[in-house]
Amino acid sequence: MKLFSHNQETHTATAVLTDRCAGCQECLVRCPTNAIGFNEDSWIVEINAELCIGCGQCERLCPFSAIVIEKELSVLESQLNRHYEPTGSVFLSVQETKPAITSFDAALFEASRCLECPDPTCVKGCPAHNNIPLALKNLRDGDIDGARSIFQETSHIGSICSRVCDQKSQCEGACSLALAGGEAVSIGALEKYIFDHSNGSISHFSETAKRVAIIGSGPASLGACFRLLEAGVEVEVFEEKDYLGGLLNYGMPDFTLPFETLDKVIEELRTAGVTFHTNHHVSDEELKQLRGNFDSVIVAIGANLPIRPKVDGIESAVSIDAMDFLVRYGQSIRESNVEYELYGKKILIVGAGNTAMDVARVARRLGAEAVSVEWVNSKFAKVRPDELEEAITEGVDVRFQTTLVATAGRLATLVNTTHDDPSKLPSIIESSKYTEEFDLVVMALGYRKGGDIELVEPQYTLGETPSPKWSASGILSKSHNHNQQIGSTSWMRERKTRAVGSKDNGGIIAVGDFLYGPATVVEAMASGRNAADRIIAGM
Amino acid sequence: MSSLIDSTSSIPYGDDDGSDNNKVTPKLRIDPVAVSINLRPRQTAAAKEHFEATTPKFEVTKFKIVSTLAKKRWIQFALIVPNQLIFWLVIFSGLFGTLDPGLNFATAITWYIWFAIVFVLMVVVGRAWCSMCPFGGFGEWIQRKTFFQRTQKSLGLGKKYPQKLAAYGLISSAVSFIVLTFLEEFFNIAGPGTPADTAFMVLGIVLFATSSFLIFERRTFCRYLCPLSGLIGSIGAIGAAAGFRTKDRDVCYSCESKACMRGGEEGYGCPWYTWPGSAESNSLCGLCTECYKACPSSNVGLFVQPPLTSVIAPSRKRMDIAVVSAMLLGLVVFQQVNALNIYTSLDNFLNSHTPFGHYPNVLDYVGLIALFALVPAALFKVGAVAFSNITVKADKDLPFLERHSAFRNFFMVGMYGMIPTIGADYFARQLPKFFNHATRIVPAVIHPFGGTNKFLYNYSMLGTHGIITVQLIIMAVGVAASVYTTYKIARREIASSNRNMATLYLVSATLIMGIAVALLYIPMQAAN
Repeated sequence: MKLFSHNQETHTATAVLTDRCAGCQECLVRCPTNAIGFNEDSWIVEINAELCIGCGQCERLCPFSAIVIEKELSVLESQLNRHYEPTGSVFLSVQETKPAITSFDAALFEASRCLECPDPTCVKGCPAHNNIPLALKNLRDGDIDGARSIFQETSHIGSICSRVCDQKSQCEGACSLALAGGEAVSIGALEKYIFDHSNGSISHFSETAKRVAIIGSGPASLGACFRLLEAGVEVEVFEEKDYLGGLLNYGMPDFTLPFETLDKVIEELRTAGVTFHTNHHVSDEELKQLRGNFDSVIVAIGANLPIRPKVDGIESAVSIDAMDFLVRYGQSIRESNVEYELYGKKILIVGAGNTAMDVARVARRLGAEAVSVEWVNSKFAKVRPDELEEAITEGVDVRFQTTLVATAGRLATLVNTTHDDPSKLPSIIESSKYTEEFDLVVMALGYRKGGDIELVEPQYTLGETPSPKWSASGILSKSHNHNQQIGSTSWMRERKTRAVGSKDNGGIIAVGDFLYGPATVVEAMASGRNAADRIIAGM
Repeated sequence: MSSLIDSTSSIPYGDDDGSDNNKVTPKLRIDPVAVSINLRPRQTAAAKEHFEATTPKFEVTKFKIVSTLAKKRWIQFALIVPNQLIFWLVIFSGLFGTLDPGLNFATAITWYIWFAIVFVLMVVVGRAWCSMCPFGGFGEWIQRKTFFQRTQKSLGLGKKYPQKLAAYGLISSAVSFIVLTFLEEFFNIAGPGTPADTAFMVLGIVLFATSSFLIFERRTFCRYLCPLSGLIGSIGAIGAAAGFRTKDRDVCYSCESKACMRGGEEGYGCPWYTWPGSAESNSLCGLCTECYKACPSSNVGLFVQPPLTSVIAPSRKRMDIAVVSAMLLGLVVFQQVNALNIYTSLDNFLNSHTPFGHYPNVLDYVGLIALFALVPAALFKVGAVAFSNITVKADKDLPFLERHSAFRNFFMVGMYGMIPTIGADYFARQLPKFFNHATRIVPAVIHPFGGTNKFLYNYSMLGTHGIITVQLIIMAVGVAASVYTTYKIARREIASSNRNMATLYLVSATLIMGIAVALLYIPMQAAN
């Protein structure tokens, strides 16, 4: 064993700073490859350069920055094709577009890339804290049902999450390999494979005569449902729309989340005894009544008030909100009764976030030309890079630093902006105005929370300082390949999902987007599940 | 319900958010993050033996007053502020005060009093000065963007000290001490010369310290770059303060947070890169109290130990401390020799025959320091050749601090053994200035207010013979301590079947070197 190991040819080095190593062995206990040993004479650790694969977790977690790893990551290269290549035309296509694992062998290979870190950072990156390494270990052992049951300990909607999560900023972003600058284990694709090739069941751990009502049927509601069912609670769900799943239904086009996948999850709940009431709007008044009839009420109505742009003459244009667009046209594609009214038309989408991309891609599937305008600089855009790439591949014209200022009938006045500082709003370049004709304007500027149920302020249950379990794993230090602080982002998410809002001092718990504004599906799910845990704990 | 909602717990899924949870079965409250963690076992079997000799017994923080004060966030601020005021006064007074160095507060306090106090503090306590140092304090205030609060975000680049230099431990600091001493001799700052020079020097240190604090993380400056770090780190090991140590080592090992290293709610992570869980010497504990505040288990205490413990007892002797000790010996003997006429002749000769034309000539400065530092190295090399009959395979691939050889074995024992002598030497060397001029602080303080009384200006507390006697007594104590220390360390650390002869040789070598440097005080005639 060598303390300093320099390889002149590859310029790699693994080194323990013998002056600063205090022998606390935080690195030794966390090394995925057991490459760290201990020198009892000097009371410092030693790195076995031959066993070290360069993941650098030790370097990230050392409390005294006493380890230096300058080494190429040497792990199996992923064989999964992560780039989206549409096969043929996207016209009327409901084909899923995310990379998928197609064979058991491919799944085994990808799963074998997991280092099985003793203190896995991916688990902290996942807002639901799925025990990813253990699930993948089960898969490697050939036990797909076992793998699924590990996931189900923290999330029953893996079939959904695996399709809609932004893994790059969650589990895969926090994967040791990604933090070291390499290609993460394709956790999302593996989770999808596991859920699509296995059958789940709800395991009961207690029986109770308690009853809980849940307002809304989106991801937060589903998360709470499964957890409450496990505890033997009787659940009734009240949904104001005529369809179930909230945002998961039409808010996620079928090429992202096929309806059958969502339907399977809802059927699982229905079979397990959940009563769903659709077309049932719950007002603030009725909420109080429900509180009297049930032991607890969870409010999971999401954030669905569309944000409208201030555009001169918008009332003269043919315009529609993004969600209305997605429901109307998503339904027509799903039910194969497309009326071709958008065929050959030109659609302007105001905004270039994830919803805007969905709108644009649905429009492309209906044969329309889609232009998406976003006034911020592409560098600071909130859109997921993979969604943006897929949309552009499908022929969507995405114009950053461009915005709509006025409309007059079909004529839209667009203008360019300058935007160099992410902390400031973009400024309009008056001289750059130009006009263009569009048949339809879709507003996709995002959503905010609201509605006729009184808003409940979130109460954070976690301090600002990350808990020891987070800092000890090294996830909080800056990662090698992107400037995104994956650890602090994850911690912020943790604080959000652990927050609850309560009315009348208990009995009514607000969760998910309704509580803290628009977030992700998995955060909402975790938030609902967490609320369920609190209800169960209070029983 | 409400108790759950009002929880302010900082641990996810922790079962610490209210008594209601006692009813809950474990199945319900499993923390999924904790479940996924599956750590390898720690290797701590040898801990008892490794730390036995250095574990201090007497905890000062068990006294309520000490623990209360040490928990206060403002305690270090309160220690720093008086010194901070004095040193800004030094800068101000040096730049704008009287030109008479004897009457200027800047020169009077810095060269007659401060140095003597620092040495006493160092020998008695260890890094006591570091806990109140105005330079480190100033830099740290800026770095932390607060005088004493616990902030989470720091100012500056937060870089790590370059790996190649850090591998040599405190040697950087000894180099900066030798450079600073050269500048001080070159410009005759400590003579003392023009008070403004003292002010510039202090300002220079402030700038050097502050910029280092803005470039590097934590107290990188204090540990590696401060000119006094190596000196206090080696000679301070004599001191009776053990520093902050763990109360129960097993608690430290099983601790999830390592808040003493990473920082916790109440305290910063150790600015000196010392872990109370494995500290076995006071050398690198800056007595800043941060670990004491940060520890979530109240498992850290401030301890005292018998003098010399941190020199004799540590299982891990550090090569950098041994080398620093040799360099410091070289420097102090140079300073002794430069008070002799023979040095003046040598310096004048070199000044007229080499490109460097100014006292002290770079060649004799560096050359003599190296020469005097190499004397012990040579003696211990001879010892290693003569008495070491074990073969240690030298591994050049190992970092500096971890290499092993027969020479190193002897050199480390010998140089650690020399530490009390070197400490005594620095102290004795400082005495003439103190005894002859310390009283000048009184007229220097009165002077700015119009005082012209010079009655304490030329007052010597002791005559030349008196000073030499005191110097020799101090040296005698130092040399005796060295003999004892060398004996104790050699008995344990010399890897030789010929241990008795080797020990005798090492003890004799330290005794002879000690007597030689002590005797130099006679011809020096208590020169400043």
